[in-house]
Amino acid sequence: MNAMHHRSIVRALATLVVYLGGDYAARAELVSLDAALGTPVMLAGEKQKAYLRVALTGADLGDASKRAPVNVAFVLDKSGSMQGEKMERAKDATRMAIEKLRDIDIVSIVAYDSTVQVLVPATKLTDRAMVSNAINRLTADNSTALFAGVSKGSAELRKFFDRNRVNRIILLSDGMANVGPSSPGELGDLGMSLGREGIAVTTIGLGLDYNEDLMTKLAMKSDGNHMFAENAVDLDKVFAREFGDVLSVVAQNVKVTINCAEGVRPIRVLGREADVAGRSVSVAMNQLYGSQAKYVILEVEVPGGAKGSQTAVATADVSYLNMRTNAPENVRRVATASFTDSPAIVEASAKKDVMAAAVYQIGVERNIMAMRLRDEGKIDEAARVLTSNVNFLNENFDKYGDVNLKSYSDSNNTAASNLDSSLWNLQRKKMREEQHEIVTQQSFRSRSGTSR
Amino acid sequence: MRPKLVIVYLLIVIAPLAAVGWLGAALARNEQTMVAVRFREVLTGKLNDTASNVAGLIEQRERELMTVSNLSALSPADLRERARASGIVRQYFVLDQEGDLVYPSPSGELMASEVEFLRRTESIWSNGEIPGPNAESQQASRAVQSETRTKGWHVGFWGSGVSLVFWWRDERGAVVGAELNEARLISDIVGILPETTTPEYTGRMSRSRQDDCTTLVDPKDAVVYKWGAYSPNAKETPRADVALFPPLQAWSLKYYSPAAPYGQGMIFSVILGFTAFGVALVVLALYFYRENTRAIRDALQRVSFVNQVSHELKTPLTNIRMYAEMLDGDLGEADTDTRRRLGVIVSESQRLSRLINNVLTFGRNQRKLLTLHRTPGIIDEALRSIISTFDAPLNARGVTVDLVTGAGQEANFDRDALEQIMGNLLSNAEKYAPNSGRLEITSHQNGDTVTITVSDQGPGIAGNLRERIFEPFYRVSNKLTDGVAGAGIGLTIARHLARLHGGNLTLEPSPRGARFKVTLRATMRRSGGTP
Repeated sequence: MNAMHHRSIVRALATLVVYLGGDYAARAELVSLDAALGTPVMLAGEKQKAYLRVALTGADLGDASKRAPVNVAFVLDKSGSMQGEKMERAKDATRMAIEKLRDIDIVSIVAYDSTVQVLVPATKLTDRAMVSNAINRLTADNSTALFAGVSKGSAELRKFFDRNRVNRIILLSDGMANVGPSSPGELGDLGMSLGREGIAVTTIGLGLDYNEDLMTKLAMKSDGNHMFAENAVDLDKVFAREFGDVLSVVAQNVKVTINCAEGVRPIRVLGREADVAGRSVSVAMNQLYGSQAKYVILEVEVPGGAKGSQTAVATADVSYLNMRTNAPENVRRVATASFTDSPAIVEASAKKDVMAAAVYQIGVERNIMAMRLRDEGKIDEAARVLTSNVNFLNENFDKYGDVNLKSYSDSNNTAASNLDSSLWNLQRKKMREEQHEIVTQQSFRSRSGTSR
Repeated sequence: MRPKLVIVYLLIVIAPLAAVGWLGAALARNEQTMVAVRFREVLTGKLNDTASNVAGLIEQRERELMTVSNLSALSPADLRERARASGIVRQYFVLDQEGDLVYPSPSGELMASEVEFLRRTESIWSNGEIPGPNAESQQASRAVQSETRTKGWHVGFWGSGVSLVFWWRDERGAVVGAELNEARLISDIVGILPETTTPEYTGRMSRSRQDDCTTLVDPKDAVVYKWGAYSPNAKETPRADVALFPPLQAWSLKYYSPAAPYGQGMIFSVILGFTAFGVALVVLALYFYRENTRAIRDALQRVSFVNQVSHELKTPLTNIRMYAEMLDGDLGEADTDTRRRLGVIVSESQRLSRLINNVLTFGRNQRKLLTLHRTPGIIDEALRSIISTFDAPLNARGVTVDLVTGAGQEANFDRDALEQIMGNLLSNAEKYAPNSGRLEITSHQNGDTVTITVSDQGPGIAGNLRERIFEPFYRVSNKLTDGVAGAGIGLTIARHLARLHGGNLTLEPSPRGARFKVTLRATMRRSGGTP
């Protein structure tokens, strides 16, 4: 009894030493959290709206050997439209992506047309020749059972499911889903379920015939990436980007909870899906990638405080699974506001990056609205919305100096001119991709700046 | 004769073939329905196995859900967090003792998704479709049934979606439940269903074995999932169809395959057997036909040979008779011994000449060349002359002719035909009724009709043979006739000639011996008439 007591004290001390030592530094670096109002100084005595940004930044992983093991399912479209170059490029891209994986990583390959074939059941990459043979055998024909493909892909993933792995389905499709559930709603429900389980679905739309609504919804709900490859030659690049993300995951199962202070009312979360219950707002993210920021922007209503006073507006709690230590961790930040009666001070103390991020998200909302109008055939109204969005983004670019706003303004301008041309189908896919990138702060976008 | 024979042969072939064909078809049809039923049973069994797997998944879901202990004790925040962390559950709910919702409470602070949930499941709460914890005490009469229900499913359809709700009693006796993420459930079902195997991947497995498919069909009749390489067209009826177990009874599994994989071998073997049988019958019929025609040809050859020989015999025989009769005339009364011998020669050559005549007449009749040469004359005179030539042989056999004439008027008739008819009758009496004493011959003339009867006192002929004796080559077989020479065509020819002459030859019933009646139509010679 005495000896056992002794031993546990030693263990506790050792843990403490480790905690205070190297690991503490690593932990501090892994995810940095920032919670701030766009207008930290507000007018006193007046109820007003403000934007709260909760930003998470993953640390740069540096050494590739430190990265988390991966469990990835390739779900490849082999319907008739994939025949020829598309199929060959997809095979090349898949081969290339697998090259980047280590032997401890798990791969499965599922191909679907009207039915589903599991080409490679979930397996460790120790037998690369078998995987490579299976890819070589792939040929295209028939129609598109996308739902079943994703279902089978997720079934393969679950065979080796582990929260400490990066669990991901990479779905490639070049056509409309026409066998099985095929509505964005149904695929979104499936995506939500998979996302909650810890499986992200990255959707890659190839060519001009896929359903971008369905593909973005599936990616959005499961917190995966969405990419549009206009040509088969782009697939290499798209897969490379995707694997750049997959191999840089630093945290998973990220839960952001924002609890507003007494009297502060949450209005809505911009862009992302969130659960709002009373003064509590929760947003879930599947993962956080290295050296990349993700954020949640919450519009709140703040009651006016007394002049000169300072008050906590909201507390942001983030819990996540550290992929380096495989341990759950929590971080907390409190966002505060102070009050003045001078509008000039309010203006001067505004945080430009937070405001720019909010504007960016509002720009997406307007872009989505224009798209809906265009879908309803109201081309003129859509054009008006896009033009006003261009002006809105430009004005705020002048104000906050974020180049992202400028480039998105240009995108909206292009969209406005393509509304009733034959380019609309292409344009719509680009718009969806961009919306998804901005709303989820898709990593390679922020890393490579405004590449498109 | 020929068409009749063809019909007979066709009957020989067709009748058994039809019978066997009908039997075979009936058998095949029977067999096919039986095989189809068995096949459907097997398929249904297979689909039921798959449905059981799905039911197993549902049961597993139920168990997973019910492992959460004291769900009703959790706070709304915890319940929300629990649902948020679950890929399976869309929304939890808790009922109070009255069966009203405590969580998500319609009057509480709700998330957008909870408002949606209440809208979707409105019918459950307004109709009390899930029994509250006190349901038994409130509805004592129905308690027996509801008491045993500690869990259950509720499947609701709203808009284009389905709401799958599972409820159970937790340890505190409260009714709690969860609405499942339907897409996820379907996805999991798809996950446990078989996939389409690649022919390359499974090695030598033949492609033909994969020529079928099974589909999972949702309540709107849309295909959710399909495995197998076959693509049925939209209107094709499945070969087997099985509904999933509750709560997914609105979903079903359907099996398709392009052609009936059964019964074809059966039909093939029936057709093969049928053909073989038909060929055998045709060969048999041809064999019989050939045998028959050969027999006929042989008979014809024989007849024509006999005809030719008879022709050749006729001339020398006539000469023999003529010279024997001339010699008889030259001899005078004195040499009785020689005359007796000469008489034998004459009567025997007469007999031979009758035989030859019979043969020739028979041959002519066969070739339809028999005609009459009527000449005017008196029947009785002709009769007397004919009988006189038989006097000697009849007397030698102990038979005496007693002629009663009654046909003395002149008539038109064929003397040779009459001679042949009477010759045959008398020769029969001589041969078959020896030592019978009186042979009574009568003639009668009534207008054109002449009737002649020949009655002997011999053993007679059995009544049942009355007609058969007139058939060619038929000879009554008994003690008496055995050892008596004869061709068996005499009566046949006699009857033919009588009929040719507009009359008939019949065997009349008689108390003793045989009584033949000959009728002839002999037109009378009238004054001023032409012959």
